[in-house]
Amino acid sequence: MTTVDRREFIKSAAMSAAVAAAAGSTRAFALPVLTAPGVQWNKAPCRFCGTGCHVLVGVEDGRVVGIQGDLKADVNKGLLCVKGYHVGQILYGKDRLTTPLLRKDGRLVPISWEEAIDTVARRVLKDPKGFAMYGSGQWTIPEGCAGNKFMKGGLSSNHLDGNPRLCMSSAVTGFLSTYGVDEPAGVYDDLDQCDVAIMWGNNMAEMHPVVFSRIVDRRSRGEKVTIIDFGTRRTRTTDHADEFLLFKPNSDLAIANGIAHLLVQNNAYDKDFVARHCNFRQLDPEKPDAMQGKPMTFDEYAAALAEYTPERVEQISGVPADKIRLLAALFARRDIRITSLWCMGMNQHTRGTAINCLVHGIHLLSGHFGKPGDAPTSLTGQPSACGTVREVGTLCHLLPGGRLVANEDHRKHAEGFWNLPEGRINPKPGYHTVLLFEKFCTPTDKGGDIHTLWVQVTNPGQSLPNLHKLFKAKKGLEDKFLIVSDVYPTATTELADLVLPSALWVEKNGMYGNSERRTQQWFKMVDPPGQARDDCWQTIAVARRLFDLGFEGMKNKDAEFLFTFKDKGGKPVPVWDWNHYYDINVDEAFFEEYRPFSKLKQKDLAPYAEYARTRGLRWPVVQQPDGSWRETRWRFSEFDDPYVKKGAGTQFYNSVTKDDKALVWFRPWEPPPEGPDADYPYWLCTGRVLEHWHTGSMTRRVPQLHRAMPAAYVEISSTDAARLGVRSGERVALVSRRGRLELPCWIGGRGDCPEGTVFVPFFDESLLINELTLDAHDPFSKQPDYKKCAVRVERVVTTGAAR
Amino acid sequence: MAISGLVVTMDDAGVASVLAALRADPRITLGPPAGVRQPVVIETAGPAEDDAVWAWLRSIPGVRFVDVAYVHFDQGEEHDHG
Ligand code: SF4
Repeated sequence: MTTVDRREFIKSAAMSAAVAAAAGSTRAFALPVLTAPGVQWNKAPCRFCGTGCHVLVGVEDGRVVGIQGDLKADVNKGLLCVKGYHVGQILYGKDRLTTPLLRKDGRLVPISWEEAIDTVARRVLKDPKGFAMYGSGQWTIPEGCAGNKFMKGGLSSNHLDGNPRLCMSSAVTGFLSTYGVDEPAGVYDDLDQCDVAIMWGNNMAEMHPVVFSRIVDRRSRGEKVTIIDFGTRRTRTTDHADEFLLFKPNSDLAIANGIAHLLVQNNAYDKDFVARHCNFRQLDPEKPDAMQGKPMTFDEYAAALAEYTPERVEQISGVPADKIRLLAALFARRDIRITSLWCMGMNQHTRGTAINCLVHGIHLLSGHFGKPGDAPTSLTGQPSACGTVREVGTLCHLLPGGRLVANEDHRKHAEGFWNLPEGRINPKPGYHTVLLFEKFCTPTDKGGDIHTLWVQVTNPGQSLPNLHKLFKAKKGLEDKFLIVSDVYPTATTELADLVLPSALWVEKNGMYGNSERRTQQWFKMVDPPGQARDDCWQTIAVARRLFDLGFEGMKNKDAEFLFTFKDKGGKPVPVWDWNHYYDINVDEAFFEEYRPFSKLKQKDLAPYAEYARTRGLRWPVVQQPDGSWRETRWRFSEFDDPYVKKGAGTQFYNSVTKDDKALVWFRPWEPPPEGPDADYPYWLCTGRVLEHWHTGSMTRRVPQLHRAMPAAYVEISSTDAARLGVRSGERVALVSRRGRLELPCWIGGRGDCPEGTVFVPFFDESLLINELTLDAHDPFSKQPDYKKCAVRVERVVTTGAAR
Repeated sequence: MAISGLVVTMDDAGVASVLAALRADPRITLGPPAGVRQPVVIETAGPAEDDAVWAWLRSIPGVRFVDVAYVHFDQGEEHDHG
């Protein structure tokens, strides 16, 4: 191809993308691909969000040179969002961490890997009970397996938690409370078949643009699909909505109860479905902290709902009574299919478990469940929040496959699968995220009993709420030691005592599990820079150092090293030695060890090789008589789920009540722990933007994404701005009870806050909005509320850079 | 060489003046508009000039925001942290 041809080709690709983005405004598009001889293409899931799009990665001379949407992938069918197209560039920021760094005399100085690994091991030996690990849904499945086994099976400690506690643990408790088992019953295919899609506080157009395009693109094919957007501010999702229902923050429980009330009062609920498949539950006032609650009759349920008349709901939520009636009328229809979608809006909520339960309840009550297009479906923000955290069980109360550390049988299973001596696993759940960081940031003599924290693959120094209390308070605590494995300097490495440089994405083998139960796999394609190494290797190397130092916990039942992997000839491979780490496929070894865990709750996984062959498979994946492996799209539905008994139609086989029924919960609306008052008269909502993923540590290093959205801002209504006397680009100060932050305001931008609400994205490490947010959390999921706290807005006299 | 595909979103009232400004710049090619969203391609000698055009686009009165849809990246490029 000549230079001119090549330039014309690139220009046409750029124009196609721009035209597609402008026309559909769905933020997902397909591009022509510039192929060149010598470029090797291989599949991988995108590194960013839980949608789990597949990309094809082009590699030439050991470097990623191109990205294309993968046409063979069911999830995205060749489309990607703007982040996905730039995912290759995250590898090549100038400031990649390439050597281990230890803080000496206040400065981080390069050290050898040997010293680094020995330092971590000796921090464990100081007091294993005070050593904690913090991972994330960015961990690959094998990395999560390694961390879980190291902590729970090796150190007998459950002080292992992770970032998904901050983004989807209320979805977990919602599923568990309702069905007795985690994760959605439905799949993305529901979006192709629903007649109505309801966004419960969910800005899908920016946060999950590719799946959102599955809905919106149906309209361009002439199909009718109604989009209802429930929100506390207008977003780009609102641009596509048939109905936008603005509600007052924290009033979503009243709305859900209002819909349920009308279904019952109008006798419009699905009596047959309810009789066959549902029981009713409420919290037990004598044990308000017990997630199981206590039974209630249908009549008691109806009576509890009675106060949620449309007029009362309007009073609480601001949503007109007629709109509540409209929603109830939609759910009352049997001739349409309804899919509900949610993410952080419902999960990052001090009543997160409750609102999750209520939305499931409306679907169950109305029978909008279990048919393609009829589904309550939560989405995740992290690429493997489901695969690595919810399934592998890398939270402080979990063991793999939906098991609990507090359950004796479950501990025995894990000890069996991991070949551990009986009693090795500690029955006491460890510290959940908020508590873990509180203990780490509290002086030892004041009860702060976590002395060392090893953070892998995430950035809590930016993503935790109430950062002054939960992270910055670590500064100056001499006996506390923070270890951070990461790929770039971050807000977390700023306070780190030891920094370990990690391999990123296609610089290593990996497996993820996306929001629709799809397990995905990729192979290493390029080498990591400098001395950066796989996180999984780091965990194994520390374990081995402990083993060599005589630490009993690093031995299995047969006194062998905990992470003993053998080659095809049965010979142990010293994978703790980096030179031998890739002598075998460690990912495959971990995955095959983990697979048997998946059977208990019918989350069956196929052999590793099946995932290497495909663009992912949705569990349960069950072997067929001909030896092939079949995935399941709709769980609990006889037509698709092999675990449902013949003739049952729908069967909730993990039922809490052990009678194959799901639970419809009553949970009352209650006021929030903090709301606007005379001193702090505004609601602050935080969230994300299209161009940046999570804390921006990768996407801010992609020049095009950085340039498109260079800095955080505060979105404020034009009425409030006029009252304050500020214009777009001028700086204001936000002040909460926990912190103060100055940033430029943006009026009439992408989103639009109502009067009395401001919104700030959290991707910008130079403007840490989480210094202001609230660490109050849901009592069951322990997930904090990033969407609602009270602030005041002050005009700052000096003007700053305009957006 | 730097080539970017962008969407310029304009205020209703600013469409005519913004389009006139875009058309006057030979480095910018306009695609078919979708309401107030105008797809454009910018072709410049390199990243520094590309940056300057971006900054200028965002500063034009009547431009609400500029979205990135596609950016060509050359092999070997390394990036500063923003
Ligand atoms: S960021 Fe999410 S939606 Fe965008 S391409 Fe990646 S996985 Fe898909």
